[in-house]
Amino acid sequence: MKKYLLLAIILLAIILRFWQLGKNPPSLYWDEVSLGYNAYSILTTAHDEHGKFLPLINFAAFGDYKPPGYIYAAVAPIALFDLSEFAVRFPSAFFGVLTVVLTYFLAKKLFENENVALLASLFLAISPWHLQFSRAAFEGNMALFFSTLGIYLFLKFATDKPYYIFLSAASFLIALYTFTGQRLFVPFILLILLIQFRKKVLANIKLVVVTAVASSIIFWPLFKFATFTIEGRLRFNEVTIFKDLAPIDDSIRFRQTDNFSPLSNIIHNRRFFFAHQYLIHYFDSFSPSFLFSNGDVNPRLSIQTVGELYYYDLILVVAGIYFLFYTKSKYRFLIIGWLLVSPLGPATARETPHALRMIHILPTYQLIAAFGLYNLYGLFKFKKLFVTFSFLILTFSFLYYLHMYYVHYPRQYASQWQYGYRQAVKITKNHYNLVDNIIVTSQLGRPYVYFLFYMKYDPIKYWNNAKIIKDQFFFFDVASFDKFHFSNAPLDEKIEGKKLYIVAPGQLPKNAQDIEEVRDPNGQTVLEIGTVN
Amino acid sequence: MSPKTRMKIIILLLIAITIVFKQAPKSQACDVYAAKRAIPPRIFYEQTIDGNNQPVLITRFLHNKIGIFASEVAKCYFNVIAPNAMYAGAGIFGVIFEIYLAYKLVLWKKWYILIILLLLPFAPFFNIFENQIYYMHKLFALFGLAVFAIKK
Repeated sequence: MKKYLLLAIILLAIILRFWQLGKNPPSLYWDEVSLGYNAYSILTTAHDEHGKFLPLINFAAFGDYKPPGYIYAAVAPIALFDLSEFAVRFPSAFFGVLTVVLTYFLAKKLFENENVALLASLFLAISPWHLQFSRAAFEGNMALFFSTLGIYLFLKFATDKPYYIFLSAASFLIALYTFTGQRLFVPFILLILLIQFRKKVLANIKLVVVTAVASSIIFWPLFKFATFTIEGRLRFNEVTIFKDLAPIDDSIRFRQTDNFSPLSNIIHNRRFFFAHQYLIHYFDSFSPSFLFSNGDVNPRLSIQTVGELYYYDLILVVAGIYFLFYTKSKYRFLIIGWLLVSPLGPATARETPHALRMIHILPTYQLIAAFGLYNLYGLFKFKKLFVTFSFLILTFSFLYYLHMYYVHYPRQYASQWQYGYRQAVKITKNHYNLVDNIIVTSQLGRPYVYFLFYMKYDPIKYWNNAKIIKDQFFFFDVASFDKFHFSNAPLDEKIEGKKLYIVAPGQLPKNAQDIEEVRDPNGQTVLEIGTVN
Repeated sequence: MSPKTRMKIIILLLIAITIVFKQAPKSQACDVYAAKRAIPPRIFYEQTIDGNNQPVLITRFLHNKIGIFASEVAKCYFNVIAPNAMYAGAGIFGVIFEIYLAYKLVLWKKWYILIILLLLPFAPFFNIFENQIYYMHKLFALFGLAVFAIKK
């Protein structure tokens, strides 16, 4: 019976992740397109979009130096399903389903209880947080699978056979090479694991040291890039609170008020101001509004109308934490430690709470909630009433989420997913041979990659004729390739011959002909297209 | 009194001082009137997206006044109980000792006190203690500190 329940949960996870995968979210975000085109470039030429042969440390892409894991994972789906939205999102959905399965085995290992394991995997299967990232090409979601697998295999090392430590290390390394956010998670979770299983680690110290040394050698190139190069530090420096000047200004202002006395230099030390900022960002990660009410403020990372968890999770998570301690659960330190260290890295960034950067906190909430529900069930006298009531609340919450995700979300937030480029490229293809130049507005962001992607543009041709500029933030900006010219002010471009303009509403030249419009699902015009002789 | 005990008392007093003198920010307006005001635009917007093709019963079931009002109440409540609200009101030690107090109350099964603690954050929603809400965190943190001092 329980085997069938697990199969039903896996089937549910598959349906929720793969149904309308290419259609909702309504369009590909630029990072997804970039991942897809780089994978396509690897598939067809064994080089990335900039012509670098099989990159192992990073893909330069927009100048954001993406880790390679997801791009290589997308190669096979693109070979199978062609260069499409479905193929690009396939690895994320696939690893999303695998994470649901893994959660079952992890929970079974942690709680030694099949019912809790089934509940935990069910909770992850229907989790708004996990579904949001499983249904778009997010590297973080794939890395989540590998970091969770690393934790599971470490448990296997501690409880079954010592050689699992190699596989655990390999999983963590793949996670590190897949998502930048993992670089500030893996060291902390390893520390938690080492403390939890210190006796086992000490008993197998030689094996652990050999694994650590081998892992360090494999990790070294990435570490070197992330730490010692401008490009590697770029993104961190861009988002971190520790580059803000406000805390330093505040520190000076406070000390000035105290005439720079020695005591004031200690009390109003800038490190305290930074620590204060860091704590605010850390506590943000546990904001109940973020968790249960609105979710992440970025509409790409949450549907805004439902939290990262459901409302009922509030009771279950609190109950779960209580029962973890009350029952003196064997692995309570690991589970609570995992929960508490997950936001340590993301809290260094300005935007908090950030659902993507701390996605590795999953599936702790689901594990705790499952344990809470199971133990609450044990407490209640009227068990049938409890089950019926829980089922009704869970079903209503889940159906409401589905309604908001499939009916409201694509209409309300299409613009957040750069909606309009696919339709624009389709129209462009009809005009391509009839015009000399195609001038595209950059206002929707990084248009070049959409034309490469949807036209399946030959990467070798692209390397040879692309005009790429490195901006002041070290990002790559493509000014033109082939007949395409990209500009923030398309009408100011001095280009001869017959032209096709793809511009923001109201920006077409007055003498434009064959005018077509691209409208979003709400009926708003996002792009206007017309030719000029 | 042994020097060790004296040292402990001094440390606890210092922690109490940091909790008491933590400068509390002004609380944001989030009350019953704000929640009521949010209902008409939200209900109109959400029902418009559902459109005419969807059965009215489903639309009413998913987007109704009670649901929207409840979600607004939840937002206000969460604003008050958020860890950042505790931190803003009572500082880092405040957060630790407030959580400690709640944990101890659960362990001791003092459900009535716990329910009062959990219901108090609803007060600002009804314009009661709306400007004193951060002081409530100070108070709870000090209770937590006192419990800790007695236990240790």
